[in-house]
Amino acid sequence: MAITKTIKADKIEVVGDWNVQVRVATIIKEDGVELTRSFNRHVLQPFTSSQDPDDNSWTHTATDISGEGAQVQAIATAAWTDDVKDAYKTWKEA
Amino acid sequence: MGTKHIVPRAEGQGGIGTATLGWGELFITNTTNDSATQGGKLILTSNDGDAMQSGSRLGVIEFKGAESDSALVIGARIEAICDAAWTLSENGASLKFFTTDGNANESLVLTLDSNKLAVFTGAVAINGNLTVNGTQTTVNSQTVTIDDPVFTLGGDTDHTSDDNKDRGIEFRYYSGSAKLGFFGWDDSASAFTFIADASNSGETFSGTAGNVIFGNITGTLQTAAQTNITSVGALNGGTITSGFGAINNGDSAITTTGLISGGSLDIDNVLINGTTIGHTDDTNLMTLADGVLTIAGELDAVSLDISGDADIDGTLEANVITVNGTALAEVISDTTGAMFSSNTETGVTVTYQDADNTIDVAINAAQTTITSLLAANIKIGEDDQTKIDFETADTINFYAGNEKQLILTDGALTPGANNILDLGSSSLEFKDAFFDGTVTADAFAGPLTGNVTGNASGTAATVTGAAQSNITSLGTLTTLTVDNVIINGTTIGHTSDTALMTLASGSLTVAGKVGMNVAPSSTRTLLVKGQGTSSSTAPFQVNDGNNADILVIKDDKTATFSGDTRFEGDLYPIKNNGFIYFGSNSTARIQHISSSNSLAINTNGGNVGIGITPYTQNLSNSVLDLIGGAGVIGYDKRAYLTSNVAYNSGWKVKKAGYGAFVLLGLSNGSFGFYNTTQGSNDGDGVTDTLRLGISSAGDATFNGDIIFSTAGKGICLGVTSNTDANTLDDYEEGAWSVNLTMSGGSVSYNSLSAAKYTKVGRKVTATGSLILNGTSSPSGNLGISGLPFAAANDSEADVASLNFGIIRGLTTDQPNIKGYVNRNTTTMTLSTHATTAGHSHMQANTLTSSTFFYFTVTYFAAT
Repeated sequence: MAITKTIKADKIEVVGDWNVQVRVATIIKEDGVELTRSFNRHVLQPFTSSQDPDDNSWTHTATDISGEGAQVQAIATAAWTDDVKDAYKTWKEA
Repeated sequence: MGTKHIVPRAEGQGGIGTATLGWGELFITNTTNDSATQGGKLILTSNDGDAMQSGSRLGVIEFKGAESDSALVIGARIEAICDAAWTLSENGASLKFFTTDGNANESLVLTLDSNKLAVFTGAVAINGNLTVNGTQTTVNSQTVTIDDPVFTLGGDTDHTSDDNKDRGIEFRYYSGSAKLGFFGWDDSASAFTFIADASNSGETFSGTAGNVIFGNITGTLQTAAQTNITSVGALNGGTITSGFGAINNGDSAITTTGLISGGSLDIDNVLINGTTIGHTDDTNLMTLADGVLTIAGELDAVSLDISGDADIDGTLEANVITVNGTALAEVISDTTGAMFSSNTETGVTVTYQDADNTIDVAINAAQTTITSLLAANIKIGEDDQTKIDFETADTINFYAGNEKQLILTDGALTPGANNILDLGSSSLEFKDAFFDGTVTADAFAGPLTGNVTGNASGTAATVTGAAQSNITSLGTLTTLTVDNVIINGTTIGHTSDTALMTLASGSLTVAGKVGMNVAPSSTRTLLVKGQGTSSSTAPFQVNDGNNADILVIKDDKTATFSGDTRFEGDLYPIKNNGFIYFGSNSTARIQHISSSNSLAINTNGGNVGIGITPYTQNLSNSVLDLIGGAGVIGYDKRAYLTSNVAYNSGWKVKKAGYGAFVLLGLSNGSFGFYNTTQGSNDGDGVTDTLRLGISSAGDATFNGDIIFSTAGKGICLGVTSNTDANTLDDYEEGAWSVNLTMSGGSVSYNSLSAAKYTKVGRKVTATGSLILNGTSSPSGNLGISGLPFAAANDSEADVASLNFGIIRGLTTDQPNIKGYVNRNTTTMTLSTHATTAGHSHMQANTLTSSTFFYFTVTYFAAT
């Protein structure tokens, strides 16, 4: 009897222009038969943005996706074109 | 001293003269002759009734003068000052002398203290002699000059005894550490010395002699070992003794017209010692005696001229040796040539040719005295093409015409190669031949007369005589070949297929194709040709043991099987519209309709049963009956599928080997989808489980999940066709990572912090617990991030409600904390609401390490 545990991003969606929704599934199998599957979600956006309360200037820090899986990185990189990034900043600062 | 005094009215009062009315002169005369009291005395007294203190002035003498018409200023002053508080046993005082400079600045010039110490604060000039009788003179000045050309140390009078002390200059310096140096007269060595790092013990110095740099040195060097004297000019006089050490004069020559005697003379690796000259590795290589030079090694010279005899006990090796002007080789050739020319041997003549220094040896053509020529590889013959060659051990090879013709070895005389040598010829025949063994030949030519006795063996020869009068017996032939037919053992065959037929007891096996009444086909194993159209004349017939027909094939292309017919393989009746008949009257038949490539079952009024004898069902007019009462196909052109199983007349559609089936036509008008496991509840050996049932009213019951294989599909509610707004196409449960956001500082979370979500369609309900266990100066607007789905990018998000189950552990009470989801993000903004003053952002500085939130938010995701 072999119990295996697999964690993988089983659903990656680009929602709107820049939201990359990632569903990470934790799959438990016994002898190849799936016993349970649970999900953990997170959403990636191209920047983490903050506004200085003193002069109202914005700082956009690029989101670090190095810890994401290769598929997530590839999709995020493809989705976040320069135009999309600019649009996000414009939207955020509006 | 007299007894008349001018005294004041009271002690310490009054004066003689004033500051403006002074006396011109003061004369004090003492006429006493007492040595203890004689001499004029000016007594200055300080008496205030108390004992004098340290620094109290006993008296002062001031010397003043006028700077102008009226002002008097001090030019010099002498003071007596108490050095310490006076007691009955202590009353020391100092006398201080002050002067003023051109600017009327007063300076202490000289102090004579109670310890007899005179201290000048300025320079001291002594115009006369200076005698210091103390035990120590210390000069701390930076520069000392002495005009005296001779500086005398050790006293100013002649010594009358030896104090054993050194004389010289001791000096201090620093070189890595404090050092004491000395140069001067070493009393014990009676020599001048310099010690760079000296020790002074009672003014006797010790230490290693230091380095000294001199110009010319006059005197005698007495120290035996001088490490290095780089240049001394000419040494003239005296001797160099054994303790002198090495002489190294570099490239300069050593010239002497005298003798070099004693010891040995070593020049690099050449040693001259007594009567020997040698190498450091062979010191006695040459020994010189009166008239004799003995060389113990090898003499390697360009030339050697010996006027007398040469006695060489070893080997004399020379490129050229002459004897009395004649080359040694010529001398030898002349001598040996004379020796050869005088020979008297038989069968050989030797002549010396002095012209070319050769010896001609002529061997006579006829040799009569040679008794043996034995040698390996020896050849005897005409030339190398025709010879007797002993090139191979134990073998004599005979060559003729440059080919090995005959080989004689131990026990065999054979040709040099196969089939190259005749034994005799038609004109030169051998006479008789006698053989004790077997004669083997490819052919015998000529008459073979006489009887051939014994058994003949080996390869059969060809009998060329066409007519053999009589061969009475051949016995048993192992193989008999008649033209291309070979009989060998149990096989009869062709020369190209020797095992075509194999004979055994009662059986003949043909390994090739057979043609009967016809040539064999190239493709058919058995080909039978005949023309009979009756059973008795049919070209192919198979009978049983009683000679009854089993199979008869006639030339009308009919085959009749008399018994049951079973084909293990396929049956191909190829006649167009041909029949397969059944029964003796051939009334029942199956016909292939070639035009439609279909089969016609003609029962001539009978019915067909599949798996069952026809006419067993209640539909007597059926044309097709199915086994088990499953149903019939009737003349009314309908199929009646019935069931007698427990499902009350339903019809089960099931693929063989699979457990799932569909049950149709249940009695209540419904049908269902089942799958099975091993068991039994309906008599068919399996347990049936309803997975999907649809009742007669249209209600569907699922006994399992509903899974849509295509994304975007779902359950449409309240409509009769698929519309997005009415389609439930998404449901998901899971966890998400919740965090607080703030513009400054940070917080840390207890591991019990968690967040879950449920999404139904676009509606997301998310719960979370944020339990802090640490803060680091959190500041700015407070929010929550990490929602599992991006919120819709419209006002739906803004109105999403964030409700807290509990908030506690804040720094101050926060009124009515609420929150909302920021559109198109995964964040929420927290705010504190005042009932009348609107709302403001909740601030992160209200957090503490014991803050925790429990909350629920419902919002719409983008999709």
